[in-house]
Amino acid sequence: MKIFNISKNTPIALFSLILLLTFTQCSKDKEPVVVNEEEQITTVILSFQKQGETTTNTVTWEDGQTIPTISLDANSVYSAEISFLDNSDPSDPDNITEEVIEEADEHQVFYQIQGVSLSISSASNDTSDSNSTPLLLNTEWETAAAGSGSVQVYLIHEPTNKGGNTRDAIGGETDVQINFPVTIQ
Amino acid sequence: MKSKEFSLLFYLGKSFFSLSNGLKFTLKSVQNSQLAILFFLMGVASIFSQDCSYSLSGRLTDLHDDSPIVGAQITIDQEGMISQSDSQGNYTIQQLCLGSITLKISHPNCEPFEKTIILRTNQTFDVSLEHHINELEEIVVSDKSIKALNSSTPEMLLNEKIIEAYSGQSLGEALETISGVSVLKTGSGVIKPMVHGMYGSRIAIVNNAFRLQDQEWGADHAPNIDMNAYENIQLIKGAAALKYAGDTSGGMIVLSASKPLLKDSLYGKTILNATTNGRGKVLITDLTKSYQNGNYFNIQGTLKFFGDRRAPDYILSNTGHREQNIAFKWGKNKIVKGWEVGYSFYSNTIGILRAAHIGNIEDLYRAINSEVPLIIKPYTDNFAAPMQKSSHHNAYFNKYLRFGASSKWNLNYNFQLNNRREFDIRRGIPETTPAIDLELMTQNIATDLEWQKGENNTFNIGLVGQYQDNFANPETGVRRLIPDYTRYQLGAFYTWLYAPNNSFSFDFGARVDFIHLDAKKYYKEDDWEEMQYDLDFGNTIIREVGNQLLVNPVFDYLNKSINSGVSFTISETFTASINYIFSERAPNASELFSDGLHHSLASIEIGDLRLGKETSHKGLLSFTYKNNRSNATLSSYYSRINNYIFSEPTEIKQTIRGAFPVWKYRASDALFWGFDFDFSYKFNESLSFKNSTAYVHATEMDNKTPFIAIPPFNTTQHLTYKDRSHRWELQISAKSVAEQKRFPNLNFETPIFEDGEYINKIIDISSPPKAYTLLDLTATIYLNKKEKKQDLILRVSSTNLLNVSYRDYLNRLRYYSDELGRDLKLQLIFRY
Repeated sequence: MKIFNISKNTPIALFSLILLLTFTQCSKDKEPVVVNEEEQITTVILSFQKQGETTTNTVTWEDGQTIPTISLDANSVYSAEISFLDNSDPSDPDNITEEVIEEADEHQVFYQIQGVSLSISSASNDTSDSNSTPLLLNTEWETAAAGSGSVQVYLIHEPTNKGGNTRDAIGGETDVQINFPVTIQ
Repeated sequence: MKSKEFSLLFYLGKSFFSLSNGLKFTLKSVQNSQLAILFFLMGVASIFSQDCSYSLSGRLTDLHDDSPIVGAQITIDQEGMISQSDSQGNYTIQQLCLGSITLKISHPNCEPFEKTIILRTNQTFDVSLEHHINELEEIVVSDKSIKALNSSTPEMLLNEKIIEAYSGQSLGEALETISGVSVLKTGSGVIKPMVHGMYGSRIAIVNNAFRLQDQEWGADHAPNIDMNAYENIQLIKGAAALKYAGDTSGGMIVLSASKPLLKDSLYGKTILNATTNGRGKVLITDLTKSYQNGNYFNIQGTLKFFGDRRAPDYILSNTGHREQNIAFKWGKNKIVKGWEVGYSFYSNTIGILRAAHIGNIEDLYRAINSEVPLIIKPYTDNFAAPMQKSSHHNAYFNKYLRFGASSKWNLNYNFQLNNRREFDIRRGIPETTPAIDLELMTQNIATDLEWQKGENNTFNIGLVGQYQDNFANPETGVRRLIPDYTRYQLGAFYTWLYAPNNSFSFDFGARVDFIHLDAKKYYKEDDWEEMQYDLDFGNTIIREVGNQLLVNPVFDYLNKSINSGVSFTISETFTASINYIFSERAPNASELFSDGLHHSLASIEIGDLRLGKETSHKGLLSFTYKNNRSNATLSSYYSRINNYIFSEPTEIKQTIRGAFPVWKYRASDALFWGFDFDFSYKFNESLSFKNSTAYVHATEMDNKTPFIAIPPFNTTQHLTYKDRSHRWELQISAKSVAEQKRFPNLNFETPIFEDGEYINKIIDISSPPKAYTLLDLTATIYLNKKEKKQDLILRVSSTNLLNVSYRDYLNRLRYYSDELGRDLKLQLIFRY
């Protein structure tokens, strides 16, 4: 009972206390720190090595630039390797491919071929997830007749069905989607 | 005086009839003055006929605790009629003639009360009086237990019974029972009220004398408030309560707590809810200790726990919801002075449907074309990203003093700290790192003076000040959606209410607000150039950091608002009111600065620094018909908004993740009109029927296209049967929502790979879902009603009783899943 009759000034005291606490807290007149996107993929590199040759050709795509064309010889087999980089801070590039390998169960690379005689399959040095499903980071590209078309490259996060052979069937979210023009000659 | 009043009545009668016809049918102003004259004459005839067989009755209660005032003397100026209030505070005076009478009430412990009443039928008139022997200073009249915030705008009220029935749900869902209120949802967890098709900054939620400041300007954030701490929720459709805000053209929701009893007592209530859908468990408890001397202490808490919800055919994965709220208040409530200090803490975690987190528009296409969500997992009550967590601290201090017989001074201070975090599915960064982390601190101070001049005039004048600081945590690793800013607001308001008798009132109010907004934001150089900000904001650049620019845009706005209205009785059964509301609104932080990706719509949202303030002209017109059995209200509104700010997709942006539509904020002139209709009919003591119906029509004036997210036509019927001994009650409700036929075409095309080639496909984000009807059933059993304060209520209810699969146009995640399926709920309310 008595506790509620302390003094007439109690509310004013409490009020002042709140004011004091809040005004001292809010004196952050600093400038905001710049935020560089940390998790983005800015660069996709495809490197090709024709079977029986030692030279490696790379096709590099940087976010915001025109997509380069992949040129391949007809009736040939290529070893291909795809890598994903975060170059948003040029002084500290991140290799996202390593993360993809670490979280192999949650990722899948997928290639969608249109208009060209090309088949893409997992290479012997490819990375597989815990269910032995190859991620298609290292692949073999086998070309047939000359022609031109495109290869759409996907990096899929948390796919619902890795065994799917269409983009729809695989599900999940698209982390990377680039449509490379392809010329086979 | 009288003839003046009549000519005014006549003029208004004529104008509102023409206006209402225009609104309801054609929008063209159809003159229908003949009907108005006829109608008006009927009213006049009844006033002047000398039939003296009518009665006036009512109840006299103590303003403080609603206890009856016994033995008050009631006199009428007609032939010295006299009566006394009985032990229940009731009084009746018989054999009165129609027309104007003067009612006088006197009691040894109360100041005399006098009011002019225009008697048109057997009438009831309840009066609340101050009734304290030692401290009596003034007398306050109201014919409602809650004082009307504005006499001429129609107000809708949610009482304790409805709040209790919806205690396990959100404020938005409880408000949805009012015609004209819809809810805008993001999945099943983020539910925000929408009034007359408007939400966010265009409506205000007010508690403890201040507007809630919780970053719910955008669409994906629900108000951080626990309605269970309040006894009444008032909805004002229109910016009537200028005391709290002047920029809310949609409406205002005012939550008020119950008044503590003025006696030594310890009382409270506990509510338990259990639901089948989501396996929800909700506990709410409230305890008050009150003293005869006016002191009181109250503590209230709410706990909510829900796991994954279910649609009729599948689990809605990751749609759980947790909420923990606690509130304390301590105060002293006396007649001449009083104070209250309070603190409340609200915190919640809301899971966002897993299938709604997508990568790009190709993923969106896949989701739209799938009948079921693309990710369905077994039931769990655990959360994973995507989810939202928010917390809200609210501390306040209120004080009032009364001077003389009829003046009251209020001083209010309030501190709010709101934190909002959104978690996305991320790669390379732990899921515990939020993608959005915003902290909004607000301090408000307000003072106002209310006074009465004579019996008929009430004035209120006041000043309000606000300081706000928004801080966006840079640790998220994602560029800020909303930048750091500080905002100052200084406002002043004035209101005048003139109510010479019970059948006529006039009010006028005006408010000005000065707003100063100072932001510091990083822009990507390409974005800055693309928006051509260099032209207007080049001088705000502080420096260049990498490929980003740090800029310091500063804005000043002066908002003006005015409202005015009249309310009058036309005949025995008809009352009408007409209002005009002018309001201006400064663009909010999300409209100016938004800059980021929304995973749920696969959209990039971009604000615009060039947006100016919005100006709204709104006319409201309402009629109420009331007789012994039925009660009907038709409210119509017509609102013209210049520079109405909204966002829409403008282009497709190619990124490394694929294509995204870019939603940009822009402004255009808008026309909103519509009506809300409520009708209730009592068949007998037990059986009653109620209907609520609403329609909104919104058009962008330049190109005559409809706006997105406007509620479709909807109508709800309730049939209630109450047992005669008040032991139980059964209610069946049917809610029908039509298909929205008026919608803008915001579809876009994207190439989709099909049978070896790319075909341009339309991504249909525009087409509204089909119409639907839902049945709800509620049974309430009053288990213990012997003593007044010890109620034990058991309520068993079912929503979506028929387990209908449907999608809701106002749900932003409607592309991904159906709405909730059947839910069975058990509720126990215990008062002690």
